[in-house]
Amino acid sequence: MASQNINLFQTKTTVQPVLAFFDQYVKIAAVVLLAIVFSGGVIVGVAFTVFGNQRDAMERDKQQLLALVKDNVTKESLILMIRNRLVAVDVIMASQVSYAPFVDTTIKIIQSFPLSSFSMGAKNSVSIAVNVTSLTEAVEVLKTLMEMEQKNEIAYPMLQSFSLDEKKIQIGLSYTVVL
Amino acid sequence: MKLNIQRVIRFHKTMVVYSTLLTVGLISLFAGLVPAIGKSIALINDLRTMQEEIAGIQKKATMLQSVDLLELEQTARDVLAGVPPDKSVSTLLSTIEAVATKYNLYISDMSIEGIASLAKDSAKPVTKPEGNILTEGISLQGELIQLRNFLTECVRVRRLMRVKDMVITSMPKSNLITAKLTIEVFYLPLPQTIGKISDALDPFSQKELATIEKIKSYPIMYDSEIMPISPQETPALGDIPTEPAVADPFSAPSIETVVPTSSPTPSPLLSPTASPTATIKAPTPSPF
Repeated sequence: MASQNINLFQTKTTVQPVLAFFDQYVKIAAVVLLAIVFSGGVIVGVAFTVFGNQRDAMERDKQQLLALVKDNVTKESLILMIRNRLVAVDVIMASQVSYAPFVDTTIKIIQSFPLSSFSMGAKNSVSIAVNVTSLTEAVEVLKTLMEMEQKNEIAYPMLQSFSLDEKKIQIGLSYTVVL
Repeated sequence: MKLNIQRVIRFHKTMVVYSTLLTVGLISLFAGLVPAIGKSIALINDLRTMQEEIAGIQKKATMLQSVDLLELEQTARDVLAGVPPDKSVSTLLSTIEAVATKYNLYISDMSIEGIASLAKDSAKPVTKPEGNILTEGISLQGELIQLRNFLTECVRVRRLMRVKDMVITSMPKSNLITAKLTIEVFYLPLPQTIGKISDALDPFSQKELATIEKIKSYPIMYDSEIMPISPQETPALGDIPTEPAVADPFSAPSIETVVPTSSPTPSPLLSPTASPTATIKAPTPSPF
């Protein structure tokens, strides 16, 4: 005998095709993602622990070395002080010029005649005044000057002044010493 | 509506569970794993930096341990004798006088410009690479050849100096000359800091060693030690000597201080009438 009841519910659940499509991908995605998160978490955790320990060990080493450097701070300050001063010493030594060659050149020019005055000018130029007693001596001084110019010991020789009085002759000369 | 949702959940139970897991996974990924990876990378970089830093400090520590303290102190003395930390007028006068005496030159006049503050030069900024400059005017009397020897020697002594200008005039009725020299001497305050403890420190280069050897070869012409250095006195961080290294005879910045006339500088054969005096000139106060 046929049942008199009417079943209002569907006897079989029908899944919408779109949802069924997403369902399989969601499953795969969830499993893959969880696997990645878990394994990644483990790897990062291990790495963090290892590197953390390494950092602690290095930090200890660093502190020991810093203590060693601190113990030698006297040496360090001395080295820095010396180095700082050596820069200045280098500059000073490079700028130290002996005036002896200028005097040597002058002695050579004036020979045994008395020097009246000597002054330094710019770019190794020198001005001198020499006293002689006769014109012959004056010529001798000028001759020496020209010879030195030819030997390239001096440059730009110039007779700046020539004065003659009863007692002496004074010659004013200027030249540039070739160093 | 509520029944509808319950029905959907019941029908798609598996999908709901996996969706929830996916959401949790995504949150864990972006909130936990990605920052943790970032921190790990930063940690690795830190380690690398620290490794380099430790290598530098190791090198510095090894270098410092290999250096002999006594030798360093001697080098410091040698260099400080060339360029003292303060004006050290006594060593300047002493050196000039000693070189002049060596060549039988007579010092007839001596003046120092800008002598005012004798101490506490560490506070003064150094503007030139050669340090601070003190200018001294000096008049020497003697023969030209003696002057020539003086000029050769004065740039080969500690303390270091250079002749800036020279004018020679002859003395009447004699073969002697008077040379007026302008001499520059140098001083350089001690460094105030030594930098960070982890800063690199290289040993002296060949050029620096050559300079040290050169300055060591220059004779010290004055008697007293310019600045005795011991480990206790070595300036460290913030430890700067505030007193001059050498007790200068000029205790105050006086306007005109006359040095006693009993100068050990010998007179030339034809002695001039003027007695040897050294005049210390204070700088003219600025009107501003």
